[in-house]
Amino acid sequence: MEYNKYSLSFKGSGASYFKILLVNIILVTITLGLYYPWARARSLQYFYSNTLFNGQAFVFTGTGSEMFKGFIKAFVLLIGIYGLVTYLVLNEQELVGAALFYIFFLLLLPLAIHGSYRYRFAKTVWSGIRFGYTGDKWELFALFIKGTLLTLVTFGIYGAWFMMNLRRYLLCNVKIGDARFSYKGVGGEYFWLNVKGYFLSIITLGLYFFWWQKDLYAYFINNLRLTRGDQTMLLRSTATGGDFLVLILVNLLLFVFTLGLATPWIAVRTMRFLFSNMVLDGTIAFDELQQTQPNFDDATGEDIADFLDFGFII
Amino acid sequence: MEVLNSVQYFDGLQASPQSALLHISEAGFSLQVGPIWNAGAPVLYFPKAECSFQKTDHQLIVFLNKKAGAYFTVDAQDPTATAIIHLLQPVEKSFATSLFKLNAFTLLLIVLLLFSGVYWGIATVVPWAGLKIIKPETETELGEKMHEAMMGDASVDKSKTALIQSFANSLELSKIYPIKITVVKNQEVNAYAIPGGNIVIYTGILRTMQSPDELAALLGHEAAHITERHSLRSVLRSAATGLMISVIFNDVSGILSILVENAEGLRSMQFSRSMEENADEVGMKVLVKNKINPLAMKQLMQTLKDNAPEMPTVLSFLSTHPATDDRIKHAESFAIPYKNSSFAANPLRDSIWRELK
Repeated sequence: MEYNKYSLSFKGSGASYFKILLVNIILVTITLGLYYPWARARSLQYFYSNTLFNGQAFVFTGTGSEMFKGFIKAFVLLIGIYGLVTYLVLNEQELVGAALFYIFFLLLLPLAIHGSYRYRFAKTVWSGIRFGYTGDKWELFALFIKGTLLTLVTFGIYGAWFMMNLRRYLLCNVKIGDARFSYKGVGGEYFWLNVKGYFLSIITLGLYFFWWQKDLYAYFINNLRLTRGDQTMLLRSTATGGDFLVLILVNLLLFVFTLGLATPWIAVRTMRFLFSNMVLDGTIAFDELQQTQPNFDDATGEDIADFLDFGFII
Repeated sequence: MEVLNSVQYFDGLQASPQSALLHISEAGFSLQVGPIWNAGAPVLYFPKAECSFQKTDHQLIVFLNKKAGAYFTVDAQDPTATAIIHLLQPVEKSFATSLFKLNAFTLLLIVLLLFSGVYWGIATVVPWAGLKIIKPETETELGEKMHEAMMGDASVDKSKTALIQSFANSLELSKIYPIKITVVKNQEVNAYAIPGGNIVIYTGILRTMQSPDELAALLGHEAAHITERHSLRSVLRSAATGLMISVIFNDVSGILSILVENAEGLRSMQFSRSMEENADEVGMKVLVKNKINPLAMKQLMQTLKDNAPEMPTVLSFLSTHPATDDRIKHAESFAIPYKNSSFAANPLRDSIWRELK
């Protein structure tokens, strides 16, 4: 087996992303929001096509019309829930309404994440090879219910374990062709990392916050790997706390002094930062990857996840 | 001579791209893997109806079947790319494409124009629809809730409230709305009207007033804001803007609290100039009907104007009621036709006034 160094880079520019955002805003506004799925497809296509792994760009093969169907279903579902809860609250059933609201979202969330992962990865293509998500929705569901209940009972302490169990489950089920991702972060380490970060940030009047962010990023990247048979690719973060300090402060200044207009430049330089501070090496022969993952067209979960605005969590 | 183009072909089976030669015909694409076209070798044919494309900054991606499994790419700058787009999408139908031809500055201008248009539209349509939909009874109910919320931490002067209430009852201020007075212990020179019938008067403004007619003028003016639904319109307008802001900043949960928050704004509400003049006029008509000289309105404004400099830092009645000089002139000219009318003193109101002072 041959040892390789791999490259991951982002070559988008703030100016071109700015233009995409402006066109999207115009079209979404004049269509009273109906254009939103196509706008999202365009943004995603932009980010994918500007992300290069080993010099080869990613392709987002999802389309606006697929996401529009999911958008309508998600919209009807959420309006239904809000309508029901509002009805209950207006009829002096606040407690029932609130309880129903939380229970419903607790049940909906894992299913939305599942749907989102299935759609998003099935539509992610690199060098002609599809990604895929092979998780089971009921396993994720059980993990979610257990995690939420334990987190509530332990006043949030179990949250760290919940978070890592969730991340492990999701990432260990992501494949690209016949190669599989795995993640080995665990709750205990993650918990102490956050405890340390929290208290040191307070003691240092916030300065340690940037080193805390560095640790969190490293904990994500360094525990992630890709395996294909007996071949592996490892990832390693090289970002320092100082790097994060510069990144976050400059982003903040850019945002404040342009009244938010610099948002696309901020997004682009953050992407660049994350990718350029990552070393990828190992023995996987990527040109031998085989297509194994099926296509999947239902974007409902993706759209619900987007409505609820928790982005693409890992 | 047939034109061949070299492309990168991804067969959707294995990761490594293959260089291939492409031949474009009216009906679709023919591809042959390899550096030179070999007449005897197998040719892959893809009818154009099955194909779709995605243009990125750097390349044109042509998907060769509906499942997007196999595709080929060409450089976006290559003339072949233009030929392929022309074949797959003969008519330029996308409005988005024409927008992309504009520069960022023009696009930004369009966005700003659209936003101000939407803003203006909502700020006009919501109050208009609200005035149509909300009946006076509902308005009174709603106003009662706002009043409750606003009086939460205010100290009410109960005896003065009762006195001015009977003063107001003698004036016949509104046929539709039940006019309810609340006097609040506060040194500010201020009074305001809440939609549906509540009028709040600060003790500060009572102290400055010189005659029962001025009090009648004040009540007439504030009651006019209610009967002419100025207060409702203002609440609806700021609710509409608040609504837009919360939609833009994705904070839908905040919508419910907006109405109450905006009611708070009534304390320092800026009515438009025309609303104020309208309220003055309606108030003066009330005065005439009650055999009070409409010039009382002018006197009220004069009194308040004279008292204004005493408290420059606090929000005064005058600062929320703009262009006092113009309004004084307006009141004067309104009063001219009534110059020779007879006005009678009202013993009940006079006795209430004496008790107040």
